[in-house]
Amino acid sequence: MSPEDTITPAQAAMIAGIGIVAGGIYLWPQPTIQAGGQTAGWAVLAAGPMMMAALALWNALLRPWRGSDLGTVLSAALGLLGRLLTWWYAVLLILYMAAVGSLFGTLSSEVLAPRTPAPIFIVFAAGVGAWAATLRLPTLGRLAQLWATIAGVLTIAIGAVGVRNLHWPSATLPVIPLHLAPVVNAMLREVYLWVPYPLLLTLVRRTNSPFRHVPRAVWISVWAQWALLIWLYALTVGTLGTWPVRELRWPTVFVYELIEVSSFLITQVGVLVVVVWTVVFITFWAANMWHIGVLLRGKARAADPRVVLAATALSVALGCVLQLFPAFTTQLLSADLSVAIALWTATSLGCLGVRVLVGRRASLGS
Amino acid sequence: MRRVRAASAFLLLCLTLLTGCGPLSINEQAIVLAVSLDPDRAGWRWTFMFPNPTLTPSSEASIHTSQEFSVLSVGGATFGDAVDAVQSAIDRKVFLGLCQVVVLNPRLPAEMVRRLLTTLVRTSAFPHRAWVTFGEPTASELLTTTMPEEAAPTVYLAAYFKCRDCHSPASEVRIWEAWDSLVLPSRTAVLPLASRAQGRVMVQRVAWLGPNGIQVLTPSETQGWAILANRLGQGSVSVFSGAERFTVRRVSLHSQVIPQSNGEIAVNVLGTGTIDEGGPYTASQVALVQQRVADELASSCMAALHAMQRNRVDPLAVATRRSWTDGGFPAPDVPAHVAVHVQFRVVRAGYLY
Repeated sequence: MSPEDTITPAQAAMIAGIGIVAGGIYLWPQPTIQAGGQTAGWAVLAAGPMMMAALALWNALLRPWRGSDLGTVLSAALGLLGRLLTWWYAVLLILYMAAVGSLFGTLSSEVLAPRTPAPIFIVFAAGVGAWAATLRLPTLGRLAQLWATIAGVLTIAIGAVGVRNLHWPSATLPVIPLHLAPVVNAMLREVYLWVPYPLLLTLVRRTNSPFRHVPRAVWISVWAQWALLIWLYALTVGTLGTWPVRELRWPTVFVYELIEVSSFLITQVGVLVVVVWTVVFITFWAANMWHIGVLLRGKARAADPRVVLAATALSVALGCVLQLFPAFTTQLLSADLSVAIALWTATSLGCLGVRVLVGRRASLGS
Repeated sequence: MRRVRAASAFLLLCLTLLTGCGPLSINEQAIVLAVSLDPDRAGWRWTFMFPNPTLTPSSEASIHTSQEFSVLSVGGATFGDAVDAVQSAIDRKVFLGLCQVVVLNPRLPAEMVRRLLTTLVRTSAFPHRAWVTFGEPTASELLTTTMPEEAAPTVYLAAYFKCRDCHSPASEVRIWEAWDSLVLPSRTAVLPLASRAQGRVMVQRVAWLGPNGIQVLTPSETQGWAILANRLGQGSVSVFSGAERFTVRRVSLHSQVIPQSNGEIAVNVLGTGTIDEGGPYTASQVALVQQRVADELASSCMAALHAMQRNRVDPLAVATRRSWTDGGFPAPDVPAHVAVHVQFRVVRAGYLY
């Protein structure tokens, strides 16, 4: 890998930020509240530490092996099994992209342009995203840096205007005493937020200072995403209260649409956030398709365009079908994919753990 | 190079196909500014209000306010039916996205109002920030009463509700807020009741929309509710002390509703106000006025609390607040016993600064 094909830790953090949280926010925080009711606050607080614990485990277990992405590292460590795990993840990711793509299409055709059918949005946004995915990583990094900053600042700044609508601030506080069963249920329903997290593990291996700064930038990325999720949860629940959120399909969009600034050029500035997240969706698509392109046919310079195209075509086709079944899509994303990514993580970490133990015993024996 | 060219072609295609603009110009749309709903012998009567399509910026100054709007009444079992009926009766595309106010007849069944609010919140083409109010004598009559200062495309009632800190009580409520209150455990929404008085349209009373129907409050009960809900704004209170009438202005109150574990509701009200006219006053005169104002405020609070007990509603969202801390979905909380304690202080009286 030549130095000009590496990215800075900040860029890695921003690509990962967009590549992960931009897919999760579509239903957020509806599934968690559906499962946990008033106890969902605890699950929201646990979302960040849950991810950080998984990352710490990955970091510790992958230390002995080198590679330019997660796929090569897994192959180096586990051989054919590693290859299988990579493919397993790729299938999960394609399903995930299809579900998020269908949500994006449905939302756009409901909120942005009511007379345009959802598949048109999916095809165009995914098309632009796939093209961006074939660019070199530093270009993608700069794209992510620009839009992560704009989207993050706008989401929080415009949301801050909506503090006027916070009728139920005390509804955001977690219930005491803590009952474990609903909290665990609510946590399970939010794991889907982190489905593309292996992107972090690949990006770590593409930065220009892999040993010193990267973990810090990665931690900050997870922290920032967690903060954004907490912010959106607090804004939604604080405005509507816990129970009404369950009745809405797009609670966050609903709350942002209520924000009004009468002295501004556009009175409904909240819609601006929705527009910006459309651009962010393209970057989200690019980041994850780049990841599939690298994982399945990794080259040092860029993702394989043929893999990117095939994965995009598959996801878009699936997404166009899924948008016809909104209830099934919600279920697939928040329940099935949550369980699937948890299983994949547990299996991968388990295999790696065994491999590390075996390796240590072998080195002790010799 | 070939890839760049292909990408530019694709982007150009996006640019032309995804402009985000509808194919309809503003002259081809019938923009709904307000909707009202009344019960009718045959079912429901929906009235839709549009800006007068012949209105131009130059003609606006010369025509009468009553001609700035046009209305259309239709029947229909649901909101969707009514929109369809309107659509088939006019030559333009009906556009709901700029609706400012929804006026409802207080004699409607509560279930109908509840269903309508849910429908409006579920309709993504309908602005959830629009105001909702009850109107009398009928909703459509109130909607079509024009005020001289009304200027299209702003509907008078929308401008009235938008004026923050202007009216006492501050009872304005948006559609999403009313819907929200109905879905929360207390299941009670408080809607203003706009009515005509001395040729003007104004809001002096509110109505409760609860599980047991719609109750229109008296002015005294409305004042009590406003005190309890901290929605009084900057009002004034007139009391008689001896033979003299005192008007205490700039009344600013802060009330605290404390549900007790035995089902009692204890209310503490702290307030201040000024007497701007007359004077100078002696300390004992001021003390007497303070006592009278406190009594007056306490009696309207009691009136509102008794109305809550009588109608078995929870407009102060006691049950909702309880659900945040205990996590359940409790039934609407109706106070078994009530106790009100008011402390009032006149901070400035007459010439005494």
